[in-house]
Amino acid sequence: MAQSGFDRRRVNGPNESLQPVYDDGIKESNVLYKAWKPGEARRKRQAKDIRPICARHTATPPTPFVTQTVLKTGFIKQANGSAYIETEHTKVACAVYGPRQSKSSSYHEIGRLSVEVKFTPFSSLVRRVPIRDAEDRSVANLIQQALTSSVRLDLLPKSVIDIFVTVIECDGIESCIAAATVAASTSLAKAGIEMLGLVISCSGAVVGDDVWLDPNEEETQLASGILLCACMPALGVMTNVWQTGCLPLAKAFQSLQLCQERCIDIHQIAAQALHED
Amino acid sequence: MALQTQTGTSTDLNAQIFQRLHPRAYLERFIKEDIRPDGREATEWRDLSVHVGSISTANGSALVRLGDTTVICGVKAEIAEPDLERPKEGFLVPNIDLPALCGPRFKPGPPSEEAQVLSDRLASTITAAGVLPLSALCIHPERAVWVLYVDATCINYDGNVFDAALIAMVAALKNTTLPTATFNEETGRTMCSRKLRKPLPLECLPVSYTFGVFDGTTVLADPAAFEEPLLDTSISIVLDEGGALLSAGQLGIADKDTMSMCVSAAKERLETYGREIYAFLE
Amino acid sequence: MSFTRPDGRGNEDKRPLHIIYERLDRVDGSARFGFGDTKALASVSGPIEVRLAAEQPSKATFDVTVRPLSSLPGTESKALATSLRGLLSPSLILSRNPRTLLQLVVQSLTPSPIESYPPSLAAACINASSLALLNAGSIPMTGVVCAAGVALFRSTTEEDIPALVLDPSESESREAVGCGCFAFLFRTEIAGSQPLPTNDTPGARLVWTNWHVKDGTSDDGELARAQALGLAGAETIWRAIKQSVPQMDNLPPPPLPSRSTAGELGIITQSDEVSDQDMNDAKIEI
Repeated sequence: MAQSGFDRRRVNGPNESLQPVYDDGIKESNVLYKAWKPGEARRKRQAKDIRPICARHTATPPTPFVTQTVLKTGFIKQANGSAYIETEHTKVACAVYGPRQSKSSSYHEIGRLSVEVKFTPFSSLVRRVPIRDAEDRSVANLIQQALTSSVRLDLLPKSVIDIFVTVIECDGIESCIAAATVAASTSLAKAGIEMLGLVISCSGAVVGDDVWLDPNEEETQLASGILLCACMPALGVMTNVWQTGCLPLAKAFQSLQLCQERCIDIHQIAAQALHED
Repeated sequence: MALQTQTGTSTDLNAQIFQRLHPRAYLERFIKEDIRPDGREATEWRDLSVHVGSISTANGSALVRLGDTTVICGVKAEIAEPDLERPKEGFLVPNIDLPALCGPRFKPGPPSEEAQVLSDRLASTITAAGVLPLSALCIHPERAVWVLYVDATCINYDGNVFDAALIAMVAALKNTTLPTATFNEETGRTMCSRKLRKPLPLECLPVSYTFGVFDGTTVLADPAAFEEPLLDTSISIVLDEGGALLSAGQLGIADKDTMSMCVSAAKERLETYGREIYAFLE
Repeated sequence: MSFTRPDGRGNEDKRPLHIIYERLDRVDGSARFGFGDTKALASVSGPIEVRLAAEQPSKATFDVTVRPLSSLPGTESKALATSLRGLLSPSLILSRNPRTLLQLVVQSLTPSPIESYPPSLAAACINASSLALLNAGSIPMTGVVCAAGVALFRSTTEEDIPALVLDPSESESREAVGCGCFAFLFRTEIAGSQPLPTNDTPGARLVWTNWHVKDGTSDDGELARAQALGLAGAETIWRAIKQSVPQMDNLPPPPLPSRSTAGELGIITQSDEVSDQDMNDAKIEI
């Protein structure tokens, strides 16, 4: 929103600027769910549907024919491994550099994963100031926790694996974290680093009595609580669970179950993308 | 200097090691055969592709691929009070970011020197060329103006980010639509209408052509990431869609002839390819 | 073309040049250069100790910092510093002093707009840097870099040839249709250097161009003409520098000019002490 102070490393605009306000009183994010009441069905998708990762649009006029394979790996040739994931309005790019020599002078037997997340200023409806803030760090932490148990770090003493994630467009922060985790795990696999399995992540929102998987920004606002779950479907283990909001216990377990089932489907897509490239 | 190579049957690994240890000699060998390491000729450009409008959260966006160099740019519009000395002018704030993911030599953290220099060059080129007259961003003199934050991010660094980023920024500006805004004198607030959106009145669509001079003699068009640190001189020519010279930048020793050669090569490139760059459907 | 400049100069006239060797105590070389009121001060220290991270095994590390007169140095100062490093490097033999540091600090003594350095100020910075390097005498040099600013005015009538003026003032650069700075390296016996009309100046090669035009034309000759005018200006600057060098150590420290600069610095005493402090602050921060 407002740009604070003079950043001497960037070209600066005015001291303060505000997001535009619209005359119909609706915030820019509430377009799809205008006049939605609790208890109504989900719009545009089924409750248990996630947004498509591999989408092939057929040629129906007037939209032109678009074929997008949108879990792409290896697009940054200089990186050891890279992946780009796109699901409708969420776009995340990830690159892995490593294993590299660790800069710290202390000896450590087990390698380390260092995750860095960056949101572009235009990734959300309200412009993000490019300076790093707490949200970058907390998202990086979640991804690191999800991935750490899957990588054979005991085979990489004194090394560090750098994972850099850039979020180009973000539609629902939890879904974005889920997509970033999938991209990061796919990049690690592409880099040829030894792993126990691919980590796949999925998020679910509890809206009223329903559980909606892979919520977008508006649905996140309507939900009473959100669950983000990361697991390794190949081994049938969970690596990270993150819950926000207020959820009755039964709903929480139900959404956990649904997320896990969905993760198995996503795992297939990721494995196929790795296979194809 | 004793160079160890296997003539005739160089294995891939030996070639890679040679490239790492003696990059200059590696490039010299290629140039002697009139070819570059990626297979191009000295005056050949990489393929350019431009896609716009893919980011829904931004007012305008563009994704540019110049060979492997990928730059994505988004424009966000906000409202602010104008500068006291320029009450009828809005703000245009271009910036570029080179995150750690785009190449192995970039570290996470605040913008590096290279990113700062690029941001400044892009800002001065866009301002000096007069791409967008700032008076077009005025909503109400002295009270409310638009601020356009044009942020570019490099996703993949393979040399010549300046050209790609300039095209991305101008394409994103061309793709931008602003809601019509009215300033209410009584409440002192600005209201925007979601229904009526209009594009920006751009006056000029510049394209940049960068060249590098290697060993004082060979002029390489569109240098790649491997060639860039080995160049003695770098020359950038910015032309508008009519072929008029908007900006000429050069750093390093160069003759007058080299400069005019680059200008004509840039004009030639514009004739063959330049005109369609910004001709996309909105 | 009949074009009159606000201060009545001819198109090819520069403002009076000021070349002053500051003789700052704590640095190896220092000098002040001015085109009329557009002034810059540069100081050079080297070869001095370098920190381990910046050490280079085969040549000296060349570090340039540019500071504006007011406000923090932003991206435009960084860009000018990077350009200075690139355009001065061909004139220095850095391989003679490996594993050391050559530090150049340029302080602008003229107010400039936040977004950019006007071409005359950039030219003054470059000339001041060359003078400071000559004053230091501790770095072997192959030649001297001199720079001049040029501005382009188009007429409102149907005259074909637009007017090119040398050494534009700040207001002239703002109103001009195009402006830019050209820097040339003067050194003897280079194959392929441009022959100059006068015999006593050595060959010159272009090392930096920074030319922007608002509404360009397809006239290829425009850039070449601007370059030629810049070369003529740089050549007179070179001659002025050459004349000042023999007297480098004889001149007493100059009194502070009784005009606006005194007010800017705020103190009207020994010029050395005041700028000394600024220079030291600049050095420590680095």
